This record gives sequence, C-alpha cells and structure tokens, in this order.
Amino acid sequence: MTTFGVVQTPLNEASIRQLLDDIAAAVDGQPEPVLAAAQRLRTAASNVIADKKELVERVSEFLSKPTAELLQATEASYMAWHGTQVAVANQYRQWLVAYAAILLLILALVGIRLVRSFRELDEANDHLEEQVEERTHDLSDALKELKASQAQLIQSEKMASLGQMVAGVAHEINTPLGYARSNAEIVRTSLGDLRALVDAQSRALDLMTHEETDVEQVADALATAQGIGESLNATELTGELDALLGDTEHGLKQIAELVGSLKDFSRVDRSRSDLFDVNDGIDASLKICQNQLKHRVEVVRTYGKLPQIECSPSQLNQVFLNLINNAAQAIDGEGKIHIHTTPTPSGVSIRFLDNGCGMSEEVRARIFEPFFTTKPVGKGTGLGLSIVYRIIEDHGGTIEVRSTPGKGSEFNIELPLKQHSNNPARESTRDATQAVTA
Amino acid sequence: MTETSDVAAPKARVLFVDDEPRVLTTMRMLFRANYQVFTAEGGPQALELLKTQPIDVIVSDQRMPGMTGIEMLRVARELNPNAMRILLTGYSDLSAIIGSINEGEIFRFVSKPWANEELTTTVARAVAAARASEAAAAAGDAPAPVGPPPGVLVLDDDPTVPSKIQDILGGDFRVVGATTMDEAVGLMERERIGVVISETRVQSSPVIGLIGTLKQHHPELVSVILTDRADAGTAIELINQGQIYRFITKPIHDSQCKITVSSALRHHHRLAQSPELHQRYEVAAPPPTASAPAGKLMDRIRGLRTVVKRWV
Repeated sequence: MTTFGVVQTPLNEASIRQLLDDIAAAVDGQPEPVLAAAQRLRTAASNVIADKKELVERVSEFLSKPTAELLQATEASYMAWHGTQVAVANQYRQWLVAYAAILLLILALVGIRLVRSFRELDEANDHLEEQVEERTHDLSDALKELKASQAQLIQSEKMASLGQMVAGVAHEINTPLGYARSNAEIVRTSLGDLRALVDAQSRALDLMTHEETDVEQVADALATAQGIGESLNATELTGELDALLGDTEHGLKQIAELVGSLKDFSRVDRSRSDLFDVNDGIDASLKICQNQLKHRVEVVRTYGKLPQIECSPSQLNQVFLNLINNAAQAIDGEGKIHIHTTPTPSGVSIRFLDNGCGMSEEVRARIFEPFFTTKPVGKGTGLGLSIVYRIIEDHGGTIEVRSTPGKGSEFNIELPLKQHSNNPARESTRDATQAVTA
Repeated sequence: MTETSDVAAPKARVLFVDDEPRVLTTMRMLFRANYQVFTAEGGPQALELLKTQPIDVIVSDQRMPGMTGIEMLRVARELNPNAMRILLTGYSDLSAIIGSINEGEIFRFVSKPWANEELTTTVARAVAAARASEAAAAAGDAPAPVGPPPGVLVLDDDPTVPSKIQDILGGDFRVVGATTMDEAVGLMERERIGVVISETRVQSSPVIGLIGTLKQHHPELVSVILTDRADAGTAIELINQGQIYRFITKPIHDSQCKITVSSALRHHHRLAQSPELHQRYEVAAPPPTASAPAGKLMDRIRGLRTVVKRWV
C-alpha cells in the first residue's frame, strides 16, 4: 500500500482491492469492533485510491500545457513594465535635482541675510550702550516731570479745599466782626456825647467853686448840663454802652476761637511726625467746616480715650476735613454724621458714618482712584479721596469704605501707633512736596 | 420783635432780620434815633411782622437757618412790594446773588462787616425812596403805553447776539445792536431806547461805569445784564452802582429772554410815567477806583437827557 502514491499509474490497485476484500472476508463473523475497524480501513483505502486518480489526472493535464510560450509572454510584459518604471524614476530624479537646487538657493539667501544681520547686530551692539543711556535719561526726565505734576496736583487740591475752608471761616468771622466793629463805632460816637455832658457838668462845678461867679451864670451852666444829661439819659446810655461792649467782647472772643481753630487745623508749627491725639484733630476739622454743617447736619461724636499716635497732624486733619465735607455733601437737606473713635491694640480706629445718599458698588470700587468724581465739572477735582488714601497709606494705616445707596456710607480708618522709620511711601510724598516747594 | 420808638412824628419803619441777636442789638442802637426799629431773628418771624406792619425798609442777613435772606425777601416783595430791600451778606455764592437780583429786586447789597456810615446812608436812601414811591403806588397803575414801544439796545462784543435776540422777541420789538460803548451812546442819541441789554464787559472794559451813569442821568432806562462771565463781585457792583433790573446768564433761553425783556419794557414805562419811583432805583456812587467811561462819553450821556425827555 505504501508504494501506491509514488507510481504514476498505480499497478497495485487491483491487489489492494483484493487485499481489502480478503480482510473483509477474514473479519466476517468477528465481533462488532473488528468489523467496524475493517470497514473504516476499507473506506480510507478507497478514498486514497480516488484521490490518487484525481492527482494523476491533474499532473497529466499540467504536463500537457506549452510552458515556453507562456514564459516568453510573461518576460515581455515584465520588460515593458520595467521600462515605464525606469522612466518615472528618471522624471522624479529630475524633479529632485531641481528641488535641491531651489533649496540650495534659499539656503544661500538665508545665509547671506544671516551674515548681514550679524553684522548689523554687531553695529547695534556698539551703539547699544549709548542708546540705553539716552533712554534712561529720557525716562528719568519723564519720571521727574510726572512727580512734579503729581505733587502740583496734590498741592492744588490742597489749595482748593483750603480756599473753600477759608471762605467758610471768613463768613463765620464776618458776623461777629460786623457787630463788634459797629459797636465800637457806636460807643465812640456816644463817648463824644458823654464827653459833652462831662464838660458841661465840670464847667458848672468850676463856676460853683469859683468865688466871684454870678448865681445866674451858675444856674445857666447847671441848666445846660442838666439838659444834656436829660437828652442823653446818661444812666441808661452807659448801661447800654456797657452791654454793647460786652457783645463786642463776645464777638472778639468768637473771632479769636475761629482763628485759633484755623491754626489748630493747619498745624504748620508742628513737625511731620508728632505725637497727636486724633480726637483733637477731628474737633479742629469740625470747627473749620462748621458753616457747611450748621443748622443742617447734626454731628454725633463718640470718642474713645485714644493713645497719642505718631503722625503728621496737618495731613490727618486734611483727611478728616475731606471725609466730613464729603459726608456733608452726600446729605441732601438735613442729616446726621456719626464719628466714632476707639483705641485698638495696634493703634486707633476712626469711623465716619453718614446717612446721606450713599453710592453704588461701581462708584464704591473706584472711589479712591485719582480723578474719579461723581460731582459736576468744576465742583470737585476728583483728587480728594485719592489723597486721603495716600495719606493713610503713607501713615501705614488702612481705609475701607462701605455704602448702601440711599442709606449712607461708612469710612473706616485704622492707624498704627508708630511710624516705621523707613517708610518708602512716606519718602515719596516728601520728595513730591519738596519738588513743589523747590 | 421790639418797637423802640414812641415819638409822635411818623418815623420811617425799618425792619432788621438776622439770626445773631447781637447784630439786632447793634442795629437798634444805631438806628433807633431816626427810625422806628423792628427786629426779627429769622425769616418766618419777619414775614409774620410784615403781614401786620407797614414796613418801609427791610435789611436782612443772607445766611440764616431754615430760610435764607433771599427767600425771605422774595416773599416779602409779594407781601409788601413798596418796602425797599437791602441784603447784608458775609459770603454769598453767585446763584444766591443772581436769584436775589431777579426775584428779590434788591436795592443794595451791603457786605459784612459793614461800616456804620455806609449802612446808615444806604438805609436813609432806601427810606427816602420808599416814602417817595408810596404816593406813586397810591395813585394806581400807570396808563397803558401808547404808540410804538421803545427800542431795545443790545451791547455785546459778539455781533450775532442782537439778531439772535431780535429773532427771539419777534416783530413786536425793535432791537438795535452795538459792539462798543461809543456806538451804544450814538444809537441812544438817535433812537428812542427803553431797555439796554449788555454784557458785563465790552471791548475788554467793564460796562458798569456806563450803566451807572445812564441810570444816574436817565433813571427811566432799564438795564439787563446778559453774560457768560457771571461772578458774584460784578453782580453786586452792578446792583449797587448800576441798579440793573435783571441778571441773566448765557446761553440765551428763548422764553426767559422774552419774559425778561417784556417785563423790563413794562418797568421802563412805569418809570417814565412816575418819576417819583426813580428814587427806588437810585445808584450808589462808584468807588473812586472804579473805571468810569471817558469824560467825553459821560458828557454825551448827560446830553441824552433832552432827547429822552422829549420822547417820554
């Protein structure tokens, strides 16, 4: 059976079939498993025989085909395909060359530019030092100018509020000055009348004491003196004049107080970092803006016992005046301003509350910005609160504002007990002030 | 509210209003010899008094709690138009002064601190004017004007102002314009003018001298100031030395301008009809430093008298 496969035309087919038949005969009557195995062998052998037959048929069919012609055709078609491929490759090669040339050209250009840039850079480097120096000079000039104009603005805001304040105080002074002056004139005129009376009376007395005087003359002189005395009503007049002089004194005292408060407020005689009771500063500022508040705004002061703090009194007074003025302006008609001061572990706390018109959140957020103002043009510089902020910052303090539109506003200031000796912000204000005075 | 005189002869009645009682004491001492002095410590009190007493002159402080002097004088003018009004001011803002000119028709502003002599002279003038015009008021209203109304002279550097005013007033009024004081006086020599509308300065010199001289020599002429350079000091000067009738500010508002000019013309007619009223608008002498128009111009202004008289 094993030789079956290699022979083209198997000659042993019949013998195999014979063998199979023999096996079938031999196993006939054998038990079932043997029968089955014999049957399987028979089936497998017939399958092999059938397959072999087909294989033989296929091989003979293959061998009968004309191989040479087919090979030639295949070669020809391959050669044709190869030719076209070579042509395409050649074309690509040309393109590559052109591309490479362009790249080279660009590279060359870039190289030239680079060289030129390097050269320019070298030149620029040479000038750089000079240019930096020049720019620095320009910048420091601009900074100087800026500082000067800022200082000038601060100064003009100060002058504007000072002018307003002086005008107000001048009015306060004018009333007592008016009646004091007028009273002095009245007393002087009346003194003339009284002098006439005294003269007449002393003449009568002279005549009476003189020995060779006529009784009639004495009577005349007495009558004249009496006439003058009656028309003047001397007793009443002296009483009235006394009252007028009393009023005058009162007026002059009021004027002296007002002038004193101006002096307290400006504090020009005090140094920049003095020990100062904030309550006194608030009182001086309130006196100064009295005419803004009088008859209209009630001021409720709740002062705590404060430690004296190291500060610039005139600057703090400017802050207080500004906040009080703002509060008064926020109040349309009648209203109230509450001022609370309390000592804190680190210094003092000052609160200004008003029941004025308040402000919106947008306004509140910008209120300390320079030139931000809600007042009409010409009414406010928009610098007041920015200067307040600066002064408080310079003093190492804080200022906060809370407000409800229609209800009122609250400014809260915290100030430390002592100033840091080297506060840079403070130095800058000093420089600015000096720039103005220079 | 004290009466300090009981002399039989009818002394003039002067009311002083101030919130400072010491000022009132001073005033009583100063004036009691010549006048029947009334005092009030505030606007409402003064107005109550005015309802019951025929007052000739009111002297009021401007700054008082509750009611300002101007507010009080405005009401006082309605209650008693005959009373002369004087305002005592320490420090006043412009709008208050303009308000008092236009609504309170103030005779004088006296500034604090006052000088007794100045104040007594001013009060004496006011009393004389009140007395003189009492008769005129009693005689009743002047007859309606006849013939064409007198012209309106506009004095302004800006040559477009007269035509603007002519447009606003319409055809009923004749408006003539001048850009210099010389030209203005020339126009007054030729034309019949009742109302002068002027800027405070023309050709950069103040018109106060011209207005004052005009008022002095031709009291029936009525001046209105139309300006864009409003300032309190000038306004006070213009009242005291020029007795201007109204003070209005540019830009020109049509209705305000029309009302002002027609009221000024009516006022002119009243003055022309009743010379007794002239004293009410008597001007104070300018201080020696004040700039007056050149002598020649003054002579021409005086010369105007005959021309104006003939027309009235």
